[in-house]
Amino acid sequence: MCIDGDVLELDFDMDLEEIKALTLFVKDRLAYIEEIVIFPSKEGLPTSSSLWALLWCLKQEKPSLKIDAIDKIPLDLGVFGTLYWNSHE
Amino acid sequence: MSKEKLKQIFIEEANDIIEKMDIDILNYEESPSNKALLNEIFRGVHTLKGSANAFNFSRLGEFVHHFEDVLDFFRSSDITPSASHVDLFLESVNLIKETLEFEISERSGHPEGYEACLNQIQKIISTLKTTPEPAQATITCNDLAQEFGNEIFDEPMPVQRPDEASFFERLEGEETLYTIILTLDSDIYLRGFDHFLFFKNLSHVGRILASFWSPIDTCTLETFDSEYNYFRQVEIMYATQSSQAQIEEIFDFLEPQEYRIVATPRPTVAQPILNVVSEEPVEVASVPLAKEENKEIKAALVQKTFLKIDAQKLDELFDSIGELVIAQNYLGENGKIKAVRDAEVTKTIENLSKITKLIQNRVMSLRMIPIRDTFEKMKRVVRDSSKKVGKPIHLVLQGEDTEIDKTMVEALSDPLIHIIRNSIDHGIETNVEERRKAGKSDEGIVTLSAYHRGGNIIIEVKDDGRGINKEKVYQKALERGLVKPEDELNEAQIYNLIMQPGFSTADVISDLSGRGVGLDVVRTAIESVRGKVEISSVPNQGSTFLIILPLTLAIIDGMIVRSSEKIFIIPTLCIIESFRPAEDEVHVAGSKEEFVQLRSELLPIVRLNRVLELDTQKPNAWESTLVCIENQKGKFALLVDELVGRQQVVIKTLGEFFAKTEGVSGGAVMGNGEVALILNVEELY
Repeated sequence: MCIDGDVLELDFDMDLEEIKALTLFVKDRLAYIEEIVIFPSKEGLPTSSSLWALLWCLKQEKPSLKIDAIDKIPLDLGVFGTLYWNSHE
Repeated sequence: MSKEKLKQIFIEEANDIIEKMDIDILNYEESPSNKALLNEIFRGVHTLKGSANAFNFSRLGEFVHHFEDVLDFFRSSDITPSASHVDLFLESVNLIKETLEFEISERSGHPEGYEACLNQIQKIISTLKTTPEPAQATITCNDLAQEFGNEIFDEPMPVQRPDEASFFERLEGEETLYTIILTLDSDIYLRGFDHFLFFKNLSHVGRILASFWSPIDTCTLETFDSEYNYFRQVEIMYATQSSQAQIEEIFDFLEPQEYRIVATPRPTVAQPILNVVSEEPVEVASVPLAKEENKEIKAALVQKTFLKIDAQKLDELFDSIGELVIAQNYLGENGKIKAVRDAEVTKTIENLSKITKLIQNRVMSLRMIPIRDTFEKMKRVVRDSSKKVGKPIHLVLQGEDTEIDKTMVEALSDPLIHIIRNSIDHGIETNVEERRKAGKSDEGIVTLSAYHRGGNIIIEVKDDGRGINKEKVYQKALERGLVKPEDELNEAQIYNLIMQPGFSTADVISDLSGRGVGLDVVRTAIESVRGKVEISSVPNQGSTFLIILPLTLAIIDGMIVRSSEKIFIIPTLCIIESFRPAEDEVHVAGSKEEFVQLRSELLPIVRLNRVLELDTQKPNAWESTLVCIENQKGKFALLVDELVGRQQVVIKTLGEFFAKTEGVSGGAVMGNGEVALILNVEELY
């Protein structure tokens, strides 16, 4: 995880402890973050759905926040198939 | 599959449809504007017609054909069926039932009333047809979609969701398409699992084509907790050659309600419905198709895969699980194994224990069904009885979702009918004036409720009638020699007399009750499933029949306690808590009765060794263990020497000789091979 100006860069394979730290980190800085970019891990697969819940929550909190993983759906997750959000439900 | 087998499946299905029609018509009577319900009734008749014709059941086919016409008219017009029309609908259901029996037994002729009912139906049709033509007589494709709740007619999903057919196009070789729905509990991460962990395991034995994530809407950053699962549902489209059982293994450590796996058959319209499932031991119960027009609808309907399993096989499976639990307990208690101080062995045994419990829970849940259907059936009983005795009755249903062992549901139906009829016939006042004088509504109220209490399931039938005349019951019992003049009976014992064979206080024997047969049957039927009936009554306020049933007939979760060197089992559902009181919390009244102060409550102390007459020792309560137990009379503190542990035990009956032993409801084989008695907490205090 690193922050480059107003872009927060995250890894796909963050574990629960890292997500916990990330939650604290973004809580204080959401106003300054404009975009979140997620980089695939070695296997290219996400590790915890908690990260996706956090991203979803951030997007709800700040709709102008650019998060390709949320905005550009469907999202190809390789062997994990294509991810869709049922946000309309 | 042989034709005979198909016929058997049809008969089972037809009985289900008829039973449902009965309930639907009664519900429709209550809300005649509910077109969906009328459509549902029509759908049942329509299915029945197709299948009856396929089996050449011409009498049934003809009857339902005309009945369908009437229903079709009402559902597609603005005319609401009158009370007499509803009566005719119900009469028609009776005749459908009887005609089906004629067809099955290949009896010639028609059931009594067949012609008359058919004439009435035809008369209604011809009368109604003379009224202006209904505005929406043509059924469109969308109407059908609405009627049949069929997904293939639904509005297209929002653009993001691909068509299901596109997943079928992506199947390779022998792959089957499964829909896996994960509804993981909020603590899933804390339990060491994650949606993606299951994705990973699934990807080892198949291909994940897509997933649809439904996050909860009420998630704010302020309250966000990364250890809390915010996805209420994740739906996975999965292609694999593995069987459903193999996929299920991946979710072995989840709770049963946390996942669902549904095999999605290819939507081939021409595929015969009965070939969808070909595995030998399981039969798919589906109605054979008679008409081409049904095929599309049926093909879509089978996507909701339901299997009908022989109840006998389920019982056998249940017995085997019982033995597995005993074997598992034996393993856990085995001294030699305990002596092996090896982490791997301990872990394996723990794992085995978890899996055993999981299997046990799943098998148990197979037998549990909501009591709703049984309750719904009572609407018809109330309606018919009400008409027969000319008393307006309102039936109130409560707790219909309470789940109950299937065996008990079957045993419950007849007793409930008897009790309800009895309440209407004897309980509710004969005329409205009498009710008005007592400040009651014109309509008699019969309340049927189900709920859990202290490890039991309680079915309550309550009426707001005149109550049971205690004196009259007692006098009648004296006259019939059921009690002797010197017998001292308490109120409950007097009320229980009405369940004696041949007992009746009714002045006039009616069609419904009054022959003294019903309530005797009730008691026998309920006792056969280890239940009991209790009666209470308040003059001019009404009577209550309580049917107390065990949760299940086979396995209980028990707390093992020791008293006077002997082991006993208390069903854990009856236990509130256990504690050791301080000396100043124990009080003695009249140098005999003991009480213990538990926070703000004062509980009577019941010494297990004294109740069961094990010995005469009287250890100090503050040096013993007290188990706070709740039974129907309230809470009390059971004094035992110590708590040994908690265990799942398989209930074994004690045989007729011990069946009536006070305070004991059964036995169980413990891990060390010894037999422990299961306490009946209702009889301890």
